Amino acid sequence: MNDLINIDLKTLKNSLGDSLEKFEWWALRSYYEKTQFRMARNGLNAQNGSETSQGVMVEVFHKGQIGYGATNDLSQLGLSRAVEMAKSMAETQELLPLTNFDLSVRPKGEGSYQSHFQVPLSELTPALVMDRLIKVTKNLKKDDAVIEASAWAMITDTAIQYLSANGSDWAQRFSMVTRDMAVTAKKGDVIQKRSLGMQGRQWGAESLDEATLLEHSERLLKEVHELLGAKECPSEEMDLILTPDQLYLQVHESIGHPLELDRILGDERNYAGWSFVGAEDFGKLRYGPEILNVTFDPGVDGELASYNFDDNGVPAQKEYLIEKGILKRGIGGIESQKRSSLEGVSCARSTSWNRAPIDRMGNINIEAGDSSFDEMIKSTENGILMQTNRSWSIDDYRNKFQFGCEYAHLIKDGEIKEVVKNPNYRSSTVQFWNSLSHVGNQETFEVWGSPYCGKGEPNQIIRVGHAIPTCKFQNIEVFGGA
Amino acid sequence: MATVSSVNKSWKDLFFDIKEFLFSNLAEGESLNLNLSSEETHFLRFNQSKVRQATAVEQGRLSFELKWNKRVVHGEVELSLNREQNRDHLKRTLESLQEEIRELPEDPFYSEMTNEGESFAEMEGVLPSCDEFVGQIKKYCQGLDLAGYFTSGLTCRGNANSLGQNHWFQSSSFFFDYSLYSAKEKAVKGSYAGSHFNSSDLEASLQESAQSLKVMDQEQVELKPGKYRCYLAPAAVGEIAGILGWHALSGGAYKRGECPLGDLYEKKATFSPLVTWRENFTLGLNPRFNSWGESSAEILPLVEEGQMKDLLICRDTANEYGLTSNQANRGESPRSLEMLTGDLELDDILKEIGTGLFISNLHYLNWSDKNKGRLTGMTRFGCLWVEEGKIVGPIKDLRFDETLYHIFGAGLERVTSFSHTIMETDTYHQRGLGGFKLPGLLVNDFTFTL
Repeated sequence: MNDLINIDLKTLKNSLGDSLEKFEWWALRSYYEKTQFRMARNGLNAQNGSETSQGVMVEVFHKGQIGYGATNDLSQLGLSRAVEMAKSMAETQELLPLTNFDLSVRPKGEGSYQSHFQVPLSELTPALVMDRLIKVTKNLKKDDAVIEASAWAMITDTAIQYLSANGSDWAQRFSMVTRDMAVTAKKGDVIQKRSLGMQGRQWGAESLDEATLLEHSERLLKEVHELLGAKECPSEEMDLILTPDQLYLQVHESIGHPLELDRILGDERNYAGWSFVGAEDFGKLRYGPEILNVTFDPGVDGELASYNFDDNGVPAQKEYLIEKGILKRGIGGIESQKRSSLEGVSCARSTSWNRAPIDRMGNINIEAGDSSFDEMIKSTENGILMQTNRSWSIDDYRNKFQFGCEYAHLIKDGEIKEVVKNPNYRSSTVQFWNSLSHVGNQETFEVWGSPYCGKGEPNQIIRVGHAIPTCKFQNIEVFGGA
Repeated sequence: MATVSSVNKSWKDLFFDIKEFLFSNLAEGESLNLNLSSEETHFLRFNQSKVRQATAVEQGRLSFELKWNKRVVHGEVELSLNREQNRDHLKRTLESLQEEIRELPEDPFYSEMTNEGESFAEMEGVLPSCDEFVGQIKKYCQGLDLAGYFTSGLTCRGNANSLGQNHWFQSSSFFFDYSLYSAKEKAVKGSYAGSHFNSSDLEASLQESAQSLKVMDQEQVELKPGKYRCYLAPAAVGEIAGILGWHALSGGAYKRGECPLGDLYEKKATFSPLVTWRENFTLGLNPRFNSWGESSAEILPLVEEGQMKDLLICRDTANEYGLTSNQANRGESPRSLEMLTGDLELDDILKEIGTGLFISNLHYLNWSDKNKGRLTGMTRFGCLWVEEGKIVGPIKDLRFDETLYHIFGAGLERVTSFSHTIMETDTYHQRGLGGFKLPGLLVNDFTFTL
């Protein structure tokens, strides 16, 4: 048996004969993913590994219910067993159904998607990647204060195919790399860490360009030394400027998750949580000032969740979630849209072949504004500029949050001043976003994202993208370490 | 009811068949360590006491650790019950790793593979069919708003290496992790887990939760941030125990300068004498063997009467830093953590709180100052304000920001005389194993910030 990346899903479907035709509707979704993980520590080779996952999810529609059966046995027998499992699950669901769907929740989709890259991942041989990671960690560990230096890369190639009874036939291929490096240094009892902040994108071998990696390592080494000699972050209310390497997670936790329609519908109440947003808030809630524009945009080059189809097979397109500060639309796939009678986006996504699609963020972005970075600094009398997330926590309704960052500068009278360590801030979602005073322009705009967003019962990890400019917030509660 | 022993044979036979096949394909000087994890699982997801999604999954994963000439490479692939398919792609995977390992530099902390012996544990269960379980929910949840999920089936773990080491662990089990909601959107958490399903136990669990929900309809109390006297129920302590797996007990993290309990290890700080933590594999929550096939001591003391006895140290950390391994897993997280009980009786909890908080659950914990052992998180599910030993009403959820050194040190006043087993309900990628056995804690001056 070849890997699924080399198999046309139609061949597997044909192996089932006409056994699918007895259902009102069916779909097959194949998923292949190969990930290499390589890590160097302290100038030495530390970890080399790869993993491959492949299998098929069978969906069948039976009396208004959709049952799911998943298998990694790609033989006729294995697939037939998955068909029977899916049928059995639909019949179980029919005993006590939450919703009765019709077939409009599985529209026809045709086409393909190939993520953009400059240099193919195949250029990244194990020896080449390890050589670069070792060089980076040697560079990070070139003085005695450094107690730990690490660098890693996760290189992923994913292929998804989808066929359905109503003629859907599409394929998507994703080339992705997540990279990070970190340096921990100690002086007396003070230990501080500085990292790249885990950068995940759809890109190719260009992501591990040696000169760029070494440049980052020089900067991080300089900054960790600044932190060792820095004062504790003060505890007071002040203006807060967040760069994209922190703000992306702020958007993720306090805009992305609360807008998910399955949370609003209560599906997630037992695990990830509910939402402070109610159905009545769409079209009315002032989430932020007029300068706040938030989009679901599956078409941004390089973002982790750029795609043409979600895993319900629905074509994806850009939509405004928050426009001029007003909440417009939820993050919910076609099933949640039907259940809630709310507008959503194409975001029903599965972590792999072995889980059913649920509402997930895709690329959730803040559209660039008008302010330059210098304007934001100059307009700040008493404030702080925080960079790179190191801690995050928010309640199950997505209201009260607290974030910590690795690195910060105080701002006094329109100028950037000294570095402070252990910077944190806390607030509540709507109050925080309504304190937004400046949205950075295109020059401050960066593509970030996370490969590790967790949600769902059973649990699922998904990749999300956040393309974000630097932004400024007024009068936020800021505080330091223990 | 279905007994699943007939299916069990398949994965076990398969594993011991493929290991021989792979070992026979090794080249001179190579050694191979294999780990299998497999499951046959049904997931039923509920919202409003009805089925939202139903999924059946049959899957296996096989991980490789190949060693040759002071080099190491790891691989992981799918494993199905289809033997012919497995042989093809496992052979290709091995060949790919054999090629890759010859490209790699030496592992600076290389250790030779060893034979750590054999162990076998098989626990059969009696599980309900999905239709039976849905029938029970229909019967017992009328008038209740329930969200949650039922997970049921066979879980297997196998380990073998080319030096003759063999371990096998399998269990058939279920869990139903749920919450009930009042009309005022207040909730209580419940769970029912085990290996032998009994409908009357499910009914009792749901009835107890429904009873607890009644108090949640009382008027909500909104508290200002500040320091409060708190009772943390075992499930809330379980959330704190969960974050201990994120470097707090790791010997490697300590050496890398990121261990939240570094001061406890260095004896710059102590916990209360009421605190004794240990890994207890006699609880049967997790196999004793780790991914190298090493068997941990049945009981491994970590903290005894407030003094740290040991961090968790795995083979890699031991090699790198010249320490002695205590057979921890690669992540050096607790796998079967138990905290010993104290003398606070269940009936005395409200009286001993006096005026303060009864905290049933916590949510979304994270380190807020990791090296100082400070963590933040939220109250969640069924947290109550108590005055003079009497429940006043549910609270509006609060954010806390407090150190482990206060919770288990100066702030700790009493530990309950009972403990609860909190089963792992993690299903990322696959069903998790393990859990905690934990008591409740009475803590003074617990800091809430928002």
